[in-house]
Amino acid sequence: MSSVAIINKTYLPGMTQGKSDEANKNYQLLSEISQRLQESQYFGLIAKGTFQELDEVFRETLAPDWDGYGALPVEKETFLITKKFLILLPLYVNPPNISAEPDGNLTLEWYSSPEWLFSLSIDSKGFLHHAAKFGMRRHYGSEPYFDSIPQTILDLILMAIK
Amino acid sequence: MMTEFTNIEDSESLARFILYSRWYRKEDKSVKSDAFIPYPHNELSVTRTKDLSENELMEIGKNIIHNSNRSVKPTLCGNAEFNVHEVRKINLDAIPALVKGNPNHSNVTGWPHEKSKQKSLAIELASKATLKLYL
Repeated sequence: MSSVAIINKTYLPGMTQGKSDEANKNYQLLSEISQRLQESQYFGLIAKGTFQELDEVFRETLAPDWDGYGALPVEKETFLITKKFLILLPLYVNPPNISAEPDGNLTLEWYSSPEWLFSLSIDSKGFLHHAAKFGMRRHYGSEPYFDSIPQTILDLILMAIK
Repeated sequence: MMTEFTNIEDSESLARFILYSRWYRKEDKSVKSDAFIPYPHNELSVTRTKDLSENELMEIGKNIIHNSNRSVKPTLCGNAEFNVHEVRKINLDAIPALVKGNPNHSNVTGWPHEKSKQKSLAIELASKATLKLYL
């Protein structure tokens, strides 16, 4: 799926098209606003070099054993899901550091210090595996990823960059 | 120098070679949890640093690269050293696992199967590790 296609699939959480003309107009207006915001995020991420970083990580991890310990290559599906995830990040969220893990997952990290960070792994099936360390507090879990960023993940990202 | 094939003491240090430059943060020279995810086995490959000079340890890292089947060899960036006590504190273990060319080779074992739990433990180890860069 191209990035443009991802942008065009505008998602408005909790909103459905209305029955009256006015409701339809409002829905359309909100759709346009949402699409513009996603476009802003998309071009913002290009400007910050985030997609370039993602492309580089993908290229570096295409071959098996890219880490010298027998790592799995990162699959194209994982790359595309990660790109879509990045585009859907709210504008106020700083772009993460991007890397990969030996099991072929791509990782997005929001880091303040070794004691205050959030790390998210994305696998080829679209599962999000996450773990966070906020001082003495720990969070971890896994959940499927569909067309929007789960609120729990967003909350943890915001906590990491606070 | 060769370490005897003995139980690993709490006071010993283990080193994880960093063969991918994105596994450490350049801004503060800290190691990322990505370097500690156990794969392809459910154990983490490490080297006991006991009785090894820094050069001897680096040579072991170079051997890992030499033995890699890749046409483009990985780069030996450095190693992340951490204490065995920190491993056992989070209910993992460290056991000797001699391999050809590295009599100091060991494994960090006891990892849960769930990826998110592995990540949480990897974050703990990474936060206690000291990065030594060779580059």
